[in-house]
Amino acid sequence: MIELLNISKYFPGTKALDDVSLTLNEFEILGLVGENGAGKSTLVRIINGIYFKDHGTIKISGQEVEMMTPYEARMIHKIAYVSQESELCPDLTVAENITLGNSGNWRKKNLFINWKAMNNFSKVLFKELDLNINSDDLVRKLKPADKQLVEIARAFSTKSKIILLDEPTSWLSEVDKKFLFDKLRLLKKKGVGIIFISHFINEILSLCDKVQVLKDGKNIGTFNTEELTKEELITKMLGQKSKKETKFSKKLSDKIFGNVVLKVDNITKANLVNNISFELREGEILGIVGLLGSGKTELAKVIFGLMKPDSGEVWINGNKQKWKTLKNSIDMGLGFITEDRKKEGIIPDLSIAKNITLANFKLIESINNIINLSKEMKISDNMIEVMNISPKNSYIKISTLSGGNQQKVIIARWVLANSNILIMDEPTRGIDVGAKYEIYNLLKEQCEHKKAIIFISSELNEILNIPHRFLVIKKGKIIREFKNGEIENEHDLLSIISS
Amino acid sequence: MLKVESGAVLKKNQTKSIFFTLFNKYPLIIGFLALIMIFYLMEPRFLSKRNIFNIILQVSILAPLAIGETLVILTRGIDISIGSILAISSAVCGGLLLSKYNILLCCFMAIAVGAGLGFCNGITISYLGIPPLIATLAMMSIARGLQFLYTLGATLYAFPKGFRYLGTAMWFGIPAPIYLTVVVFILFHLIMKYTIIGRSIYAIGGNPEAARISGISIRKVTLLVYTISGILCAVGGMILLMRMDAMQNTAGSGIELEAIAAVVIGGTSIAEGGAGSIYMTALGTIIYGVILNGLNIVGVNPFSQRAIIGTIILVVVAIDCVIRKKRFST
Repeated sequence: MIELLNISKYFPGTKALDDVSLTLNEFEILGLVGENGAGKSTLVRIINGIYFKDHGTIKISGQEVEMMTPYEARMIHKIAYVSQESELCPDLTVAENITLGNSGNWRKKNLFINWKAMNNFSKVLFKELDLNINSDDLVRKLKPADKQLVEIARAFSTKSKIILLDEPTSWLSEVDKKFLFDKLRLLKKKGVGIIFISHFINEILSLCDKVQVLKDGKNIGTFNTEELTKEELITKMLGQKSKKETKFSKKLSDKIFGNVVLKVDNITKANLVNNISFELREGEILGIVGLLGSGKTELAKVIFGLMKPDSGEVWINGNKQKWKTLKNSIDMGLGFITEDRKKEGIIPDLSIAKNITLANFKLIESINNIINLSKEMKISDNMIEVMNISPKNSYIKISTLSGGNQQKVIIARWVLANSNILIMDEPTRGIDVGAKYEIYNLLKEQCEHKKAIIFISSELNEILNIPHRFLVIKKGKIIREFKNGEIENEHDLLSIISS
Repeated sequence: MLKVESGAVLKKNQTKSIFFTLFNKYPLIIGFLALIMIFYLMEPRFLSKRNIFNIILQVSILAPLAIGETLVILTRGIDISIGSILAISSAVCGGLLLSKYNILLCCFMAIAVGAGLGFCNGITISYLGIPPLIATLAMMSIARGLQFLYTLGATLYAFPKGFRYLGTAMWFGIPAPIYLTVVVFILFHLIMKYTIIGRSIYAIGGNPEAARISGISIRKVTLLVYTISGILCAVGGMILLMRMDAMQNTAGSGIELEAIAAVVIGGTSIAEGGAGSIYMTALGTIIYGVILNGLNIVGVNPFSQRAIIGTIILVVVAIDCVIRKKRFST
């Protein structure tokens, strides 16, 4: 029904999809799996018309389609799409969201909206689906699970022939999942073709007829799920060497750490973080790994002071976190390297030097409030040397640097701020291999200098090698803790995480 | 290849970057020179010494306001109350002068009024979270209303000699207000370049989230920026009194448009924060003055000035937006 042939897609700096082909038939559920950044969401967005392909052919029902808008995808080709992130309008009601973009279907005398009919449609829909969601509620007030269900319901409501689901179960309870899977199977029987993206391998194997694996933007292959075991699938996702034992440096597990510098005590936050406690010692790298929806970024934000928890305490170097100002958190010794350096890390139009000194003006102050520019330059040049930032020019705009070098600048920023507890969220995302290793070495050096690091990552290889121990988080809870070396390879780790 | 010390290499790159910045302004400078050429050809008196002074004097009231507006726009905000704040602080200064108070006291009160009202803008925007457009729109009416209440609609004139001196004096052959304008520009250029507050303004304009996570208080900086804008309005108001020797009801009316024009012509981006600088605004202000003066000298109907300013703003910002859109499309 849908044929994608040799699709390639470029984004500034990366090739997101490289010659990928995909076939989706009627009466079929196709699973799409791969690590973070493999290209799954990108591929599905091309089918939906949100992104335009750079190379390749798209054929729908045999006809070649050159370019289409999301509207055309929905109206003409009957493709429904549920995105990974919530794409509902928070200040509209559930009913209005269900009929979003479709409200022309409920008109009185071709001019006015027939609200009664529209609301009724929504009520009937939820009744048919046996879902207990009130059509009159504002989306803003719904729990994450219900929001996800509304999006799924919307996809079901539009007599679609093709349904694309991107991580639809990240917020759902077991009960909700069962409901969803039953509905999907029913739709399949009626002839609908479904693409199902998920990190939960068990779901893929039980629900899908076939599964296609992507890795680093390339197609690894399409397989029948009946003949595939979980182990085999994971191996295909991670590559042959995933079964090979990871090399561990002996030093890691033998190390003795200093005092407790961070104490997280029973932190709970709404639906996101559920009674998490742990301690962090001087010189230690603590890893945190978990899938989308696990709450790991929210946990980091609570510790740093960006979010206030519903209950629980955080002790930083003996001081209590009061969640007042961020300057407070920084003065207490915390530093935070966010997930998205473009959105929350770099000041793009400012120079490297100005970005490096951003968190600690005291260092470059000469007299009260006046910046000593030459002192700043010296400090910046020094940092550039130490961290091997390239090009070695303190004056140039940080936006011209590669991702890896930008990340090094941000790490330098926190080193200069004298943070002894660094929280790093996906610190090597979107960075080339060479820069990654430089960053790992930087982190290890920091530990030699008595710093402590919380290392949040979804890259399995990193989690196994870099931290001294790591926590596996699922749905806001710590489900397992492992020391470096306890898990032998990526394969086993993914098995645990995606169970 | 000569092996150079890293210090020398970096200095070379610094000069390179200054040229590069000027190069970026290439279209602007070319357009500016072309404009001057056109006006000169149409009316040779355009480049007479007297007219050149005229141009700068004409924008001497606008200049401090344009500086304040630059700071506000850099932080992704807007201030349309500047005309009204200029009016009320100017009225207070004038009224006190006429009541024979000490000149310094009068100036101090003007600044206090400007700072106070700017501070109110800052509080509503950063602590109450009211969008800058709405907050300053309200203040525009409030301040103008306060001015009417204070002056009861009268025109103030005939200020004491000591005060008028500054408006009409000539030092080394150049009118005094020009020195004042230059000093204010240099002062703020230094502040933006060498102080922590200047750095913070660029940071929160360039990426508020990143600045916040680095510990910069967006609230405090925003509050300060609007307060400074208010103070600069008062400075503009005092220059008005010095030069005009009279203050009418309608003082400052429409100047917010002119300030924004000066800022965007100079290249500070309204679409994106953190891009722009004081010397660019200085250039923009001069160009604006040139345009206005030039149009006058060649005989364009003064009533069409508003329409022309509006069109210029539209065209300049449109060019900026189109370029940015081209750069970032998926």
